[in-house]
Amino acid sequence: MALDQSFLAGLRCAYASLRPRTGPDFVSALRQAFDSLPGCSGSDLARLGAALSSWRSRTIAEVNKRIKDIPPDDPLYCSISLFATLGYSRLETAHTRALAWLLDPKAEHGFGDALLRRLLVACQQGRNIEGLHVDVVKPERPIEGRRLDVFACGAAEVDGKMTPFVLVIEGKIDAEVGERQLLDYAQWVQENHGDREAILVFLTADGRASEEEDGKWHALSFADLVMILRDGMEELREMQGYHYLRYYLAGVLRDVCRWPIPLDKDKVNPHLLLEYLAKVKRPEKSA
Amino acid sequence: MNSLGQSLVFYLRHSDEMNRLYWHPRVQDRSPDLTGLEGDQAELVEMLKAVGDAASRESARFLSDWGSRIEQYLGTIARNERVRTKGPPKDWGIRFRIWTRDGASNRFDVGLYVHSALAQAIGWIYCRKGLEAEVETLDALGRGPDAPWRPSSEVNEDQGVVLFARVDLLPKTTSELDHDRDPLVAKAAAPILSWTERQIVALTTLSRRR
Repeated sequence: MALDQSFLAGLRCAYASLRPRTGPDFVSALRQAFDSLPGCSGSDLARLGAALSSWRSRTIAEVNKRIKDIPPDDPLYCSISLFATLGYSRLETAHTRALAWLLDPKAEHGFGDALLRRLLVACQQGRNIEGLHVDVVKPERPIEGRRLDVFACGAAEVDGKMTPFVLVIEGKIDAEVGERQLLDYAQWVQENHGDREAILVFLTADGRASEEEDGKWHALSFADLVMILRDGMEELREMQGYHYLRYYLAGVLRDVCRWPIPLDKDKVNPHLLLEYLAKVKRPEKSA
Repeated sequence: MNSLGQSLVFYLRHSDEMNRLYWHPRVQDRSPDLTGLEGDQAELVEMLKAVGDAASRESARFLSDWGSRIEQYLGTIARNERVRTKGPPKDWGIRFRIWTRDGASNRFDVGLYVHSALAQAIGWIYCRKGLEAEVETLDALGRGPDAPWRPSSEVNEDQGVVLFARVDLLPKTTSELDHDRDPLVAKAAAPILSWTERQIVALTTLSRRR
């Protein structure tokens, strides 16, 4: 049966209306719209530039004032990177295994729960943890064909109340997060430890948030981690694991954060360096 | 002249500050900490976002120009496919996967990224991990006194990565904000435009060697 000509014409017309119009007019209009997206005028840029330059100068002055407080055995001056000696300077499993060991109160370092406590406080907006009971800290905990880089659970006393918690750290240095990886981990925690407060940490070189999760993960950069572990490190000086921690932090700063370690203060971001220096306990002045 | 973009030049000139006040808050999905910065805070936040967003677009346009140029050339001697990345980093780096034309599955990656702290566009090639792979890649590309190929250690890249271009993106005078994009794209693309099909074959072979 022959199709009606008017039907075919109508079909052609309807089909044409479905296709996006991408002729030269459209492209040039798109380019025009793109170019008119909000930017800043020359005078705005000059004003912003002046504000940033003046902030930088003040930061550098403060760094120069504080840098003399750094003890000679600080990780900033340490030329040994824990994993570079093995050729594993950016190997994720090496880093997360070492981190699990450092966070484990029962490990041989002698720090007790000091480092785990600092990490928990940092991830919970500085809530003061009065007491801490830790059941387990494990690296590479297998779950349904995958592994949690660091897994810990226990209970923390906050405001006089013991709150059971579960801590999961997923670390990425060079690799991208796997498809649904963080969503699946969060779901596993919910299904298996739903009665505990979940503290989920996504640890990356630049502290980026994952695109594929629903806001349950706390984004942390390795530089943030260094700041957390470095804070009050002086109190751990007499402990067995002190130099291990020094080499670990020096390695993270050098190999993951790309700081010039041993420190070349003129080549490091002064704002980050000042943040680090704020963690250094100043020596008490003698009377 | 096609401009590199005033916002991108500004960003590169103040990268420590822009990374701290724009980039990190953006990728961490939080507000910038403006402590220590003088001026109207609301206005500063608005300007930082406008400049950062515009710089990201200008960086993406620079990389896309480079991508078009190398894609066109590589299409004559190899199979290539752009590897898409997600999120904010997509504006600051571009990557292609390369195979030989005979349908073999061995491949290697090349890319270009804008390194804000160095204010440079850095071209790289990666066949497989390790220092040994770097040496083999350098050999496959042909060493010479003027060869642009450099090992990863020059910019603290990961082992296995070989650099083929480091192009300064800032204009010579510190007050200038306008910079011609086209010669920068050409400079970053030039090393790839000299590759032969034979070199492509040699490079893809490296990816499977252990």
